[in-house]
Amino acid sequence: MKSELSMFQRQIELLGTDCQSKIADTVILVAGIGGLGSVVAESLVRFGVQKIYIVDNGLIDAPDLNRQILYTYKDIGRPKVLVAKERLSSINPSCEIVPMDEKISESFELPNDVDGVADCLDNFADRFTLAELAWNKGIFLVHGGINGFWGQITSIVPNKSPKMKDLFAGVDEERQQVQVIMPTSGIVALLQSLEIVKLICGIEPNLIGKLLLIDLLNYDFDKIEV
Amino acid sequence: MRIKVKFHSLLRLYLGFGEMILELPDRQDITVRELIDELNLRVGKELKNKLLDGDEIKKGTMVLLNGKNILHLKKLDTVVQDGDVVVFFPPGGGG
Repeated sequence: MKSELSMFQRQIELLGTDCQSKIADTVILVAGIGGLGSVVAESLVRFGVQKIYIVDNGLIDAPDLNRQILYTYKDIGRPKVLVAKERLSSINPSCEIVPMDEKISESFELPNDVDGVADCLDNFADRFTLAELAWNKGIFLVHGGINGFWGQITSIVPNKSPKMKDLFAGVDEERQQVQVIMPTSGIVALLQSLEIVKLICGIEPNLIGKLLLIDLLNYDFDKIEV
Repeated sequence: MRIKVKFHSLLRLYLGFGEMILELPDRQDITVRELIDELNLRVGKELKNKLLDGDEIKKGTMVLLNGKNILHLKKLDTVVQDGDVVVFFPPGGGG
């Protein structure tokens, strides 16, 4: 217990003990454990979330290694969720990591104890499915998406923000092979994890009803009310 | 009328700028379709081909009028007025 407390000492000074307790009591599901999901999950473990579901049915491939920080060369060919669990558990053994080696689909069921969802998927069709599940369960979803030097983040919260499929109506829903570098996935994912903590602790401003457009080529951030 | 127009991501890269103020002193309002025609004339590039597929917004491109997706308004017939902000961008689908 002592080592647990000392692990979070530097942030408790910033966030406060109440916030730290809320973080520990919140269960998050990270959908997609690739470029975004790797960083979101690691950041949430380091924030002190004590239970995280990780959902992905992919195997680790060499092109993942330029950005997917939970994996190394020796992991190629292994299931992402299993390697991710090993790495995340080694950071904080008291955090329960629940691997779900499956794909998000309409038959997917959000576990009963999930309080919030991180959308780290790689296509909008699955994102819309996931967002609908979260909306119907009455829990928040923090969306992140990337392409090249650019990305976007928003929080989808029932009755407080537009629905995901309404906000992003007209997008290409198919999975596309996007160009990607680690700074883009890393920065967008770290901001997603920050947004999750803000929603847990009620820290404002947040991204409910706002779309944050990130342009790393020009170092521009544009926050749009939606 | 004055309209603020923003281009993000690959559209900004293509145009070489991310924001412009469109001054239309003789107009009270303008549809998004007309706005795109006007922008196409002014930017000196084939912007219209980037934004439209026939008479529809190209799949994968979002157009927000004051933060509202125009597909939930009147699509290309949506009316833009003085002081409005129009944002064009292709969301990133990758993760």
